[in-house]
Amino acid sequence: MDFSVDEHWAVLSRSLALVDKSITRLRQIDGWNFPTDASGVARQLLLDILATLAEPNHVTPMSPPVLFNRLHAIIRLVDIVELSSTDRISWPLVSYCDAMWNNLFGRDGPKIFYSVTRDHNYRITRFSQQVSSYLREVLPAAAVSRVTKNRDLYCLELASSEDDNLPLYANIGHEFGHALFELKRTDLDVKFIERFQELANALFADLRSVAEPPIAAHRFRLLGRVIVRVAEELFCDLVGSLLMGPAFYLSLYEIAWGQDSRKTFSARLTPDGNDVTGYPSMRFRLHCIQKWTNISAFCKEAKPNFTSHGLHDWIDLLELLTTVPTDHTDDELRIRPASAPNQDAVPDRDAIQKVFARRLREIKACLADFLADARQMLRDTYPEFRKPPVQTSDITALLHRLVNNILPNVVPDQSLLGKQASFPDILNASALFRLRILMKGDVQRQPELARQLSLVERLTAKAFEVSYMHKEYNDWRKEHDR
Amino acid sequence: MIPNSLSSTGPYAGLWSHLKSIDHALARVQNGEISDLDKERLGALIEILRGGLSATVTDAPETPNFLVLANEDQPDYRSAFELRSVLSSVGEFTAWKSKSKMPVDTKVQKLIDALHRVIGEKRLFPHDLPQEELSVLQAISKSLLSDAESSL
Repeated sequence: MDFSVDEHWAVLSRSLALVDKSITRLRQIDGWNFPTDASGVARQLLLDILATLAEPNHVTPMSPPVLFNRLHAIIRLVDIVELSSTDRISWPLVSYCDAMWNNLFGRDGPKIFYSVTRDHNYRITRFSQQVSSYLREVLPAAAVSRVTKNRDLYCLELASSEDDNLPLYANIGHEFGHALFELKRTDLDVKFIERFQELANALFADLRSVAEPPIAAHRFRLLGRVIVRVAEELFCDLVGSLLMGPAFYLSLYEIAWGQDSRKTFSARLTPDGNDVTGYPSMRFRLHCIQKWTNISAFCKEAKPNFTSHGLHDWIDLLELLTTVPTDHTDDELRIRPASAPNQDAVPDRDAIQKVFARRLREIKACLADFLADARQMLRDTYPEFRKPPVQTSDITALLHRLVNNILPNVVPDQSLLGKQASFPDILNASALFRLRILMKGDVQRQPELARQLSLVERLTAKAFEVSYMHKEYNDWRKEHDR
Repeated sequence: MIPNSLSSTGPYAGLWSHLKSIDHALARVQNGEISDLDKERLGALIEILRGGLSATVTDAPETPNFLVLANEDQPDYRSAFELRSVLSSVGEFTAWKSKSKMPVDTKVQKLIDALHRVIGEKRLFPHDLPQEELSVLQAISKSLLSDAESSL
């Protein structure tokens, strides 16, 4: 034995042992605690991948160090599936999410499973595509396709902390927007090109004025990617607004609290150009969402509703909603360049930032046009996007119940039992109630503050549960009475 | 903390794996072994060479495609390094064909052509592979890999 020749055998042994260990871990996961069956699909996908990696005909040509490195990436996916086996995921929340997902993607479309994350946020990833991307250096494409075929799978990671989770629920619509963006990419690309082609010519001319054509073309591609990512984030905000209403507006604003960079478009250049990220400024996002959720009309309609329910002290809350800062006139762009090994990253970043700053107003105008087209496309395709997600009168009725410490699960109507409240209805009423506690709560009396916030979270969680069972009963009844 | 490159995850780990797998494929091919995976990795090397070369081509289109309808199933590492700068530091590349004073673009194109020949090879144990070009390519790959490893 000689290390200079045989070192790779040791690495290979280590790698194959890790494959076996990961297979064992996956087999030992208790599927009983999976929130939905889709977690089982994720588990089986990983098991099949790991088994394929260990096949002798595949082991021979792969690089052992690359296999070891890619396995560490795959193990993070094993962690996600393991975390999916938990009783910390609220089943009514997941059931509502599944219903929303099926409305958007159909029973034959991509599936989604749920896991938890320690981050205080929600995150969606295209799980099956991530798996494929980790395999391209170790398995031939045909083998990867064979294993991943017909298993298009997303994962929504939910904040594992049960505390202070309520405002995040509204972000689920935004996360689903990413999957919808991918599904509708071909149609959206056509609209994007229509709206941006003229501006694209101007941007290239700007870049060309300071660099030779090949370098200008390279920077132009990067800039294009950043703008597409920004457009995607705004599209997701549109979907979030159309699914969740004012609750999403409030949720996004709350995320911005404490941030100094609300007037900053941000982007990050990465070694893999496909992973470039781009985010619009918070101010611009809120400006757009304010329009899509029609906050002014909501507040105007809600005033008489509040009065008729005796919520006179709550009218100042409606005035508060109109004071969310949305002025985006002096937005700027900050780009974080990829670092080593490319020494041109910083000059590229500087050139792109200058051009973006110069053309920001036009870029925003094109984005607004593109999003108007996208909204029309969503309306044409999905019935649920043709009407507002919530009615002001329903939210007022639920808010009235919360004020009196009653579950906000039913909207009183002329019938004996009332109308089952929908997920967005409950979310919006709770969001308003919670906001008032935060704005008017006595910070000197923390236990009381904590008690009130805890109360609204518990009432909301229970309302989701009860209204979901109410919905299931109604659906069963409808089916049974046929 | 002692940096442990092999277990590193994240964007630079992806770049490192990409280059390391290419390096491995080149070594195997020089030993006379070619599998489907090796051919795909050599295809990835062609994309690196082609993409890096686009920085030296003077016939760029009037306005490139803005939307970058790239194949997002494959990574795009064109921005990760400046190929011309790397090539000028690789002794084996600068020495290769130096007597004929061949331009860099032409030399790179010859390397790309050699890779295409290897990828198109159907025999299980071919014996007349372009060893000279493969040796130069291995030197380039090692230089890129060394840069990438320092970023982990």
